[in-house]
Amino acid sequence: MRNLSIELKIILGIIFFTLFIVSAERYELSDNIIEQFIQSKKSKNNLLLDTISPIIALNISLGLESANKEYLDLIVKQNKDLEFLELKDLNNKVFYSYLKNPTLKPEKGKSSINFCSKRIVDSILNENLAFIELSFSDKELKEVRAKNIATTISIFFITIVLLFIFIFLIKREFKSLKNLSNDVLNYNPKLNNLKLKPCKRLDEVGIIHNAIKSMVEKINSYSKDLDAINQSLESKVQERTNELKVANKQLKKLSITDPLTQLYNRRYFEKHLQIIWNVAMRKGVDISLVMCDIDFFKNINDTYGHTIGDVVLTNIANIMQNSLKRNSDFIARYGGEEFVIVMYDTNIDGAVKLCKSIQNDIIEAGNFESNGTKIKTVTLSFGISSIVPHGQNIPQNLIKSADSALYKAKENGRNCIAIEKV
Amino acid sequence: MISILFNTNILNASVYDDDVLTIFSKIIPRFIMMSSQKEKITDSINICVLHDDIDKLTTLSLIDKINNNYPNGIKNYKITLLNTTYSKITQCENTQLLFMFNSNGKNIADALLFANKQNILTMSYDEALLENGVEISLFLGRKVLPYINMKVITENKIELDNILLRISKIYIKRDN
Repeated sequence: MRNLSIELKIILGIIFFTLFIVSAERYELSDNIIEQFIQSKKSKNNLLLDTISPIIALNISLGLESANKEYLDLIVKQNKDLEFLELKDLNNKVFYSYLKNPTLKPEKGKSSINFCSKRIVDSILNENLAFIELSFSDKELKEVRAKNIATTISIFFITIVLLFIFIFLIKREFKSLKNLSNDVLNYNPKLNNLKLKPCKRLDEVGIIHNAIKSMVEKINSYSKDLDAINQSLESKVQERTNELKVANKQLKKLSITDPLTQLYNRRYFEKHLQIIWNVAMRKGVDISLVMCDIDFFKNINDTYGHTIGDVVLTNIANIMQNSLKRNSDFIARYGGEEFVIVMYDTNIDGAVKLCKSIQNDIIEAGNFESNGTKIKTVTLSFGISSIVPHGQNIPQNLIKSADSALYKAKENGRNCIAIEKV
Repeated sequence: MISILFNTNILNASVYDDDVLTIFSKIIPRFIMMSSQKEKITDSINICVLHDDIDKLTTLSLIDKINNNYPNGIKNYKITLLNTTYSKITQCENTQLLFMFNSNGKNIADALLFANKQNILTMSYDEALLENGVEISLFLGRKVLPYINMKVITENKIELDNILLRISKIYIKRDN
């Protein structure tokens, strides 16, 4: 039942209810009509018997049998629907007999509405004189029944026609709701494709229509607000993403950069060296590693303070950075006042050339100055090592050799270039 | 069954049919019971049969028939039958019905005068006496019916049962 539509439930309910009421009413009425007719028929039959029996009784008691015959002939003549009449004495001797259709014997008994009988009693002596039986045609009853059936059929026909009209009206009413339902089902808030005009009807359909119209308008309004909020949110997310990207970039830079000199730090240098090492090994080219150290940097710190020391470090880093001519050349702060340069596809000569170029640039830069404080000339010691990566060698061997060369340069009096083979 | 008796009155040439007498024997007491004469009954139903001497046997025959038909009377009333000649009509006093066989005109007239005075219902064998003023007779046509002189009955203030009227033929006096 839950799957049936309300429309179908209403229609079925009304059909069953109407047919039940009409059937019950017709059954009751038909029953009453037939019963009344039967009673009326019996009453008529009994009335006839009551009318003729005293006369017959008197005629018999007066010995006027011939008068009885004529009288009963008259009765038969007057009652066209009389089919059977018999007058018998107490010994069943027939005084008078009439049978309209000899082939059809009347049905006797109390159950037959057309049959009736009566004792003819002498009203004065109270003696039974005779017995009369008569039976009427059931044509009238058949006619009444036929007419009743015709009436019933007519009423059912009219009822069914009215029901069809009612169903048509119900379906038409529900069609509005179905159309509204389809519109609502096809409604897409993004397309805003439900355009409802205000309904002037005051019934339930009008109320539902206007309620849905109001709801759709609210959805449209909220949808617009939501779109605006979403758009704002998206731009904010984009902004935050960009900020995050920048922050990440900065973080990455910070993670690989020395904060003072803005050069790459030692950790990144080791990572970079491994990458370059692998490439060079694959290509079979030289890698040169230069380790340099600011000479007497401790004295600078001790003399001018760490702030000035930092300035010196920064300036040296800038000069070295600017001295690199190729994109593939890499410089990092190795630690303290030590720097390291990695040169891809560069042999010892190339490395020496670069070191000399740096020495010249520092000389050209002259004395450093910070907040009016003049700093005496700074020199650098360089240790160079070069190798074509292969077989058993590892990057640490190259670093170790370069460091050893640097140590040699320090030993040799500083401000010089030393070379060490791996 | 007794054969039909033919009693012939040479003077009046009267013939009495036994079947008709049988019918009379049945209807005579009943006409009393079905009329206002019933109210006059005290102990018994009194019927007086008037006849000429010549009809004595017929009268006795009629009385026999009445007694045979109603051996126990009617409704606990015994039936007392008196027969007498027209000349002794005074014996018929205190009866409810006067049955008249044929006689001469004077006797008939005297009898009717007596009966009217005594308010006695009159019945005659011969329907022709209705014309003289007898109240009841039998119509002997294609069928036999009680023949009632309604005019005289009404004048004499005698009432008859409706059923009786329904089975009877009403006598209408010819005006000529």
